[in-house]
Amino acid sequence: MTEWILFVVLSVIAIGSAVMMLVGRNPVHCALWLVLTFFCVAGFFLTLGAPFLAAVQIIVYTGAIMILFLFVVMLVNPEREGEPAVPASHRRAGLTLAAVLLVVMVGAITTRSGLGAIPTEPGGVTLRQVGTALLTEWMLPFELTSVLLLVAMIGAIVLARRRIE
Amino acid sequence: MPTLTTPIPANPAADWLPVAVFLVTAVLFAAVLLWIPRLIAPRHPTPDKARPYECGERVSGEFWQQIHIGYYLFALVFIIFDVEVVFLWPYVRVLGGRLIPQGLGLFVFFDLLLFVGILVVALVYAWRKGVLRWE
Amino acid sequence: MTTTWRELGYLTPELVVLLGAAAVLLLDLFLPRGRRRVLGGVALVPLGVALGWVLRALWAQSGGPSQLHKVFGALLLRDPYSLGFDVVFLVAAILGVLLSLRYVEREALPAGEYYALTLFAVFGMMMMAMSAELITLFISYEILSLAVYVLAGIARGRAVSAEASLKYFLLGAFASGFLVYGIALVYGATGTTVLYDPLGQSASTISGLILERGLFGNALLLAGLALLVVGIAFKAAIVPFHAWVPDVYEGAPLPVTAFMSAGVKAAAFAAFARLLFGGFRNLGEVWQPVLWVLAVLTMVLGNAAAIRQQNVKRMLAYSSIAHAGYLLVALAAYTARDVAIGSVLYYALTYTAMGVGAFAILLVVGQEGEANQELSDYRGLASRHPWAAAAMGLFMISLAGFPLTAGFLGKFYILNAALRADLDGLAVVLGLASVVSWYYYLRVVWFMYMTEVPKAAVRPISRATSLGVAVAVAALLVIALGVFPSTALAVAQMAGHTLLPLGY
Repeated sequence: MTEWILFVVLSVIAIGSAVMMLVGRNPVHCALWLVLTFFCVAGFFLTLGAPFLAAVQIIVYTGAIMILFLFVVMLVNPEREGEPAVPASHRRAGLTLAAVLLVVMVGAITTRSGLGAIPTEPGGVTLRQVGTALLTEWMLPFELTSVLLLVAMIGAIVLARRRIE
Repeated sequence: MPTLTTPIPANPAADWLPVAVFLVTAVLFAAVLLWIPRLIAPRHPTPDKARPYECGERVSGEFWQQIHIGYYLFALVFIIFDVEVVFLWPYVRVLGGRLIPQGLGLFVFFDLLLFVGILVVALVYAWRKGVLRWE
Repeated sequence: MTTTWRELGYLTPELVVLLGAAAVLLLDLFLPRGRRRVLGGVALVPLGVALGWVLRALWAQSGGPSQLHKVFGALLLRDPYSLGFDVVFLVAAILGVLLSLRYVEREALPAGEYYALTLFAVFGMMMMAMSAELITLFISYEILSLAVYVLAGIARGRAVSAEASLKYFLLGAFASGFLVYGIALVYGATGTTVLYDPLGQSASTISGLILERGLFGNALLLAGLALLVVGIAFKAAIVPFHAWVPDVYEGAPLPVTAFMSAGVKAAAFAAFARLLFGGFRNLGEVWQPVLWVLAVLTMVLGNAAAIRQQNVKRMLAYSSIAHAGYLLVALAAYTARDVAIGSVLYYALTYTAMGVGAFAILLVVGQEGEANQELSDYRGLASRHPWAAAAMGLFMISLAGFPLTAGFLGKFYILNAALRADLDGLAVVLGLASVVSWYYYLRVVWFMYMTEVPKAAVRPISRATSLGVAVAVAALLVIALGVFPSTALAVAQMAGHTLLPLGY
């Protein structure tokens, strides 16, 4: 029962703040609503027994990515509030796509097509299990990730820096 | 209550009850503190009083100012190292010792050394390019 | 699961390229500015060493039993297929670096980053060709993508270059999203991300589970597969996911375009074939019609757009889309098994030689810049610079698929696969598309040989040694692959056999 209540509360907040982010006029407020959505997603991960993912969600998304979002907002939009008007055709296309996606998701969940194939850990996945998996079975993707981060770093510096000496 | 095909562990959220209690208390605490002054403080707003507080000086310039582009690069570099920390964190938990009896200890150690080593290259690069210096 | 140190030995060429990338990057930081021109030469060393290792490994297996090793559990496969594609990537990169030597200096591009990113991109390609598991595949795909986005925009002074990079990055990030979403759905449907096990030791792979659980009509799995196809089709420049190609190929620095058009496409097809033939073979009846349609669209639209171009660089960009269509024909012919796989590999190699060669001539005529890319700039090239014209003519007739060139055999091999798989319709479309392509390829030859230009309008061409070497290497490869194809064909066949072992 607790889980059910948690799920409903988190869902209402997550969807509500996502809608607020979409309709908001002030980009900074929109970004803050997105933060709230991210927090709720972290909550979902917790209730599903994935505390590591919840922590990553908060550290990386609410922490780092959102700061970058805010910087960009402050960088490009210092004076005016609001955004240039989006053409109605774009809105319609976006809404249509979103509706299709919703139908597909609801369909996949209600028909339970293929769900249940994923092996689950009783009691959730602990940080220790994540660490062990990363360092043994999944060692190669783990190392490749550091190469990816290095390339990202070079790219960021090459493209964002004013002058390269 | 809907059931999912994937069994959800008995009650994984229970461990996090203190965190939830803390969060709720924090929000309530802040809300109450904001609410009390409204209740008891006298309110006689004048234009001067309604101005944003800027160390007692008169407000000058626009509130919303464009930030320096330099912050952006810092934020990018920050994200990259943030993600690195996220990957190192589970390692700290396994360092507890379960892996070493399996004869993997040394291998895992070099594994991590390589991970950090590659990112040291990134740090050296950023440093030599002067990214860490504020202009 | 224990990974032994010995297994790392199978990754020698990948590790050499990775170490080379780090070395170039660090060397750049500590070299005085005037000495940085050596970095291009330094970058050639790991590429050459890796190519030597790969060729030796292939040589050791020719004639004998081919070797297949699983590395890191089932994440990577070191087989003749991945070795063969490594040859493609390394040749493309070596030619790309040769084309860049003068260009980077002249345009004052950041040399350290330029060559380091090239090497990182090659590393990503090589890992992609080896990946037999979706997460490894995705991270390799991202390493390659990030490096190439930056390379496309590295000439930051030019607005078109920055625009190309931004477009490529935004659309590419979208494509990556499709790929990850696809991986998530496939994992949801099967509970594993391992594509297949050619040694038959493990049944809990995507390929094994589809059979075991009868997931043929599983909506989640099919949706996941569709998203995976979209993610890779973007990188392979397949219509309708090709919108970025003309702008990016035109806006990126020319040597980068040359490297991209050959290397990135080959990497995408290497992963594509492993994904479809290895992981989703049992769903072949589902994805074959999709590939059929995509192949026709890509061939028709690519050629139709290429015909209209007056700018040679844009013409080559659109024609490279058409070539992606030819490669798709080979993938659609999956029932031809090893013949289809072999033809993908062989065509990737021939396209690298003739495509990069053609871009090299653009650099020669354009004086190592983006100048003189109009068709009219090729007027009377034969009388002024017979060697450059001869080489360009060779690349053009090879791209068009004339006999005694590499391009002819590549197409012949693909047609053979298509006919074996009873895809007669697709074979006819391929033939017709080639005939159409003759028009725009031969038009270049006609301009070079059959027209004259007034003396006053003659522009000098570049005579840099590095460019000459690149053109010569590419031309020799085109001739060698066209006249003495047996070695390369044998390797391609071996690659096909090991990707799909008997009874699999």
